[in-house]
Amino acid sequence: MHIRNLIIVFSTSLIAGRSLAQNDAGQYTKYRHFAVYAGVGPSYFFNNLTIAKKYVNSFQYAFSARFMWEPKGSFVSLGFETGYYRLYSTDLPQPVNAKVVNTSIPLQFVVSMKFSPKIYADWSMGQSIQYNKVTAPDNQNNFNNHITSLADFSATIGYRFIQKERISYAAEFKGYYSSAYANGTIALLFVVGFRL
Amino acid sequence: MTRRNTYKYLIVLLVFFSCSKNQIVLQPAINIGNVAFVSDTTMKKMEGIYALNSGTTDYGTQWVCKASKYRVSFFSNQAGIFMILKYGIDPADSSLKFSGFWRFSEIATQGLVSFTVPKAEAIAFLKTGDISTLTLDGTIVSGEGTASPISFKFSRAFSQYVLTTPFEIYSHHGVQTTSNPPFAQNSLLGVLNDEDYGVDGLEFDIQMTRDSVPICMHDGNIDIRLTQKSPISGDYNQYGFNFLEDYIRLVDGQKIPSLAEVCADFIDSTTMTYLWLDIKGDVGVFEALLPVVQNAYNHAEAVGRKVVMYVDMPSTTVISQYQAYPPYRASGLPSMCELTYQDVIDNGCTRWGPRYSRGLLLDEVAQAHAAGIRVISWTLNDKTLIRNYIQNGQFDGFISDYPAYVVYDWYTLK
Repeated sequence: MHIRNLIIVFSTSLIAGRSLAQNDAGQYTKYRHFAVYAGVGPSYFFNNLTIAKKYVNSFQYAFSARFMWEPKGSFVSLGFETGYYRLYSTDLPQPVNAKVVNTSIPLQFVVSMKFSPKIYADWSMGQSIQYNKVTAPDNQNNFNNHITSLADFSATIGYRFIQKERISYAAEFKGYYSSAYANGTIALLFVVGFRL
Repeated sequence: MTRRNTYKYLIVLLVFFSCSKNQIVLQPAINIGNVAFVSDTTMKKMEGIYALNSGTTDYGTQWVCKASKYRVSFFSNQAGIFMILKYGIDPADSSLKFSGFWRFSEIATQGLVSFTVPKAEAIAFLKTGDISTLTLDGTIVSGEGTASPISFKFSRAFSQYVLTTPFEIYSHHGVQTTSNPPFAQNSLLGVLNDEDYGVDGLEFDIQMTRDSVPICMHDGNIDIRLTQKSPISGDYNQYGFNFLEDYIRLVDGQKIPSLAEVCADFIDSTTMTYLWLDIKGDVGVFEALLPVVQNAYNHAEAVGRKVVMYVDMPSTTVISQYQAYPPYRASGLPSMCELTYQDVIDNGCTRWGPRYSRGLLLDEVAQAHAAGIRVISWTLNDKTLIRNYIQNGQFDGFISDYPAYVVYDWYTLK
């Protein structure tokens, strides 16, 4: 009787130990709730200037970065987005002979929605800092100005074409609008994601 | 169902992106044809109260007639409607012709209007200035394009109280009406045209450029509310005047005017008397203003114009700058303060500009009058409030975004 009880306990321990070992070894992977994404790519500014419109160079570049909280099992994730959008540059002719570069750094909350394992869309809203740099070496009109634009937003559609355990790669099409100076730009970004 | 929802979202997005700033709506082009010149001093004799003689009542039943340097204007008792008319003698039949436009004060609906005074009446008026039997017969075209006959008849002269009580009516920032104005605020075209809208004074805002040129602009920084979109942004005082002239335009395409340009047009091209300069507080502003205002007074004296151009201190910051540059006060040029009556006294101001929300201030206004200080309330836009302040207050004038209301209520006082 005593031996039989020992055999039962030993067998149960073996079964239990094996099952736990199976979980640790392969089937269970720790879910990571946070991820960061960074992207870079060309951008195009919608030239709505009235003054010096013909001097605007609309083809520029953009960086984007966001930190996301992606709850397990949810299609929706939340986060914070920033970046650097070089909106446009102008080369003003004589008599001013100035080069002007307008850029924007968004500081926005972002909501992301997964429509499938590969396709997602983001919507971000918040403020941006708009930078205006004027370089005019021949008449000393060199200025660096910035203002805060409060009601800005961007919309993004992305396609995640490689999804590994912690790293992903995606292409994003992003539209961004800043209200203070009515600046709008679109960008095509190559994005790398990393789960923290 | 999905498609209906899609349409709903599209409509919401359309409404969201349709929100835009107040747009300029130009005055309709006026074609009066070939007419002979009549001087403004002659047309001033037309001023008075006119009643609807016959025709449509859609535009009011009683009107105040005012003559500016180049136009005759009528201000209705209904909805702030006004008419601005060119005039002249038709060489074909010697009648006195008027042609112009009408519009509402608070909405941009407008249309054309024309009148004729027949030869006999026209000659009698031009020779003697007698308007007791003056009748204007004409046609008015609605916003939808429907023409209706309309006729005005002189009703009475302005009351003795109105004629003997100096009352100053200012356009706020020099706008003709805030709702879709025809010209940008703080602009030279505003200076040249505001008088037609019934005002005898302008309130303009003063900023400074980097090279110490006083310019007329409300906001301290370049923005698309008041200017056309430009690659330049930042504060006006970071840029030289020439740079701003080259690359900044007001919303209607005009250049930002310097104060010197505004004063020159104000003196040479209008019959207005009062120019209120709302100082926005750049360091050194009074030092820059003094020669400009002095030169303007000298020019006005040289051309025989009586004008009152005064700096206004709307904040303690500006008062500090005023006090930091004693030569301005020592010059004897008039000044105004918007703060307390005591601030007015302490700074030797000859004018006080209390905000309308402080009420009628009957005791303090009486105290100011006893000290020879004129009191102008700002900014009165509600027509009920304007009527109340005119009938029950003792102010010497108002700033308004809708001067047509003030003109009608003041000039119909008995």
